[in-house]
Amino acid sequence: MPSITRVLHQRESGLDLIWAYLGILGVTTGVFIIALGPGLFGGTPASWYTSWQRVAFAPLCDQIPSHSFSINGVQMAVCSRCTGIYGALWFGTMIFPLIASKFLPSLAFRRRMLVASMVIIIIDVLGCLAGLWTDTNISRLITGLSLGFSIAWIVAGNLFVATKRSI
Amino acid sequence: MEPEINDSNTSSYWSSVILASVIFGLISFALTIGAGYYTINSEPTNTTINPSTIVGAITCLFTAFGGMLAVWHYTREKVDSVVLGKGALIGLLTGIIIGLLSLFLSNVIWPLIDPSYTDKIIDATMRTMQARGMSQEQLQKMSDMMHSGSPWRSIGYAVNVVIFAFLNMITGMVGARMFSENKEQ
Repeated sequence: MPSITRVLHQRESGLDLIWAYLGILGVTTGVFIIALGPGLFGGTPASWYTSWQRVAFAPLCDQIPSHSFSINGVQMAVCSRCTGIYGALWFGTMIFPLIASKFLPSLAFRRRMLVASMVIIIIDVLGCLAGLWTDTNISRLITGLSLGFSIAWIVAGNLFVATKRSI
Repeated sequence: MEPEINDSNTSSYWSSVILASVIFGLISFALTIGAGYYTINSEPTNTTINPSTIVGAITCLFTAFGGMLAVWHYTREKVDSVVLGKGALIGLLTGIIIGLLSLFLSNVIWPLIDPSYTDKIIDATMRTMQARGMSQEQLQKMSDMMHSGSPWRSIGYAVNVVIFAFLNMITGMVGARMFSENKEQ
């Protein structure tokens, strides 16, 4: 029979995990909303450059207009690839812990997925720079989604489920 | 069975945090300033593949991997494995320092070295926007906003540090999963 101390410790650990999960989910949601840019909050194309959303992401993203989606005619604060990364990070953080009890591949497999998604992005960028092909906002979005989901899978995939095959 | 004592609870991670922060802070600053001068010295063009694009592609999310580097260094030098929470903390601290260092260098130190840098960037941005077909009315409005010193810029910088911290926290957690000793099986 488990001791009272052990039961209390397990309950405390469970609460810590829930708070950690809610914290990560809250921040990923906030970052994704900010990444959507000033168009979401009634900004105009003229105010894009001086918007705090653009300034916030300026050192992290190229913010090239032709590489970005728009909301209400106003360019987002990040490019389409980064939109995919932040969007997938938010959505993945939300769903992966919930489906982990049904489906959770090994950590080694998830690591390989992360490396593969990074390699795909590097190949995509280099191929474009070499003039081998021209990527589009959709292809950038898809490669960004793959990286975002891979990161979320590793970070939040087994927050609540510790299986023999995963740490 | 007694639980294993994790070394990561006792060994200091600050040397790893500072090392990664300084490396990524300086690289981020150099890329930002380099891209800025490229923008200043180039003619506005509609070509999407140019040196600025290359710098942008490298900068894009590059600085988020400081947390992962710090955790890698920590696991290499101090401990065998890092728990997820410790990885998050190392990444978070690394991100905060990278953000502050990069902002300090590009907004406080660099304007002292080149006082006309900000004005040149604004002029270059206006030229680029004009080349992209922005109307005169919108350009005037944009110019007024830029020269008025929008308070949102300060908020943007603060949010920027928070985002740096968050992204590095995530990569710190990924690093904790990737570089810790494999406990599978």
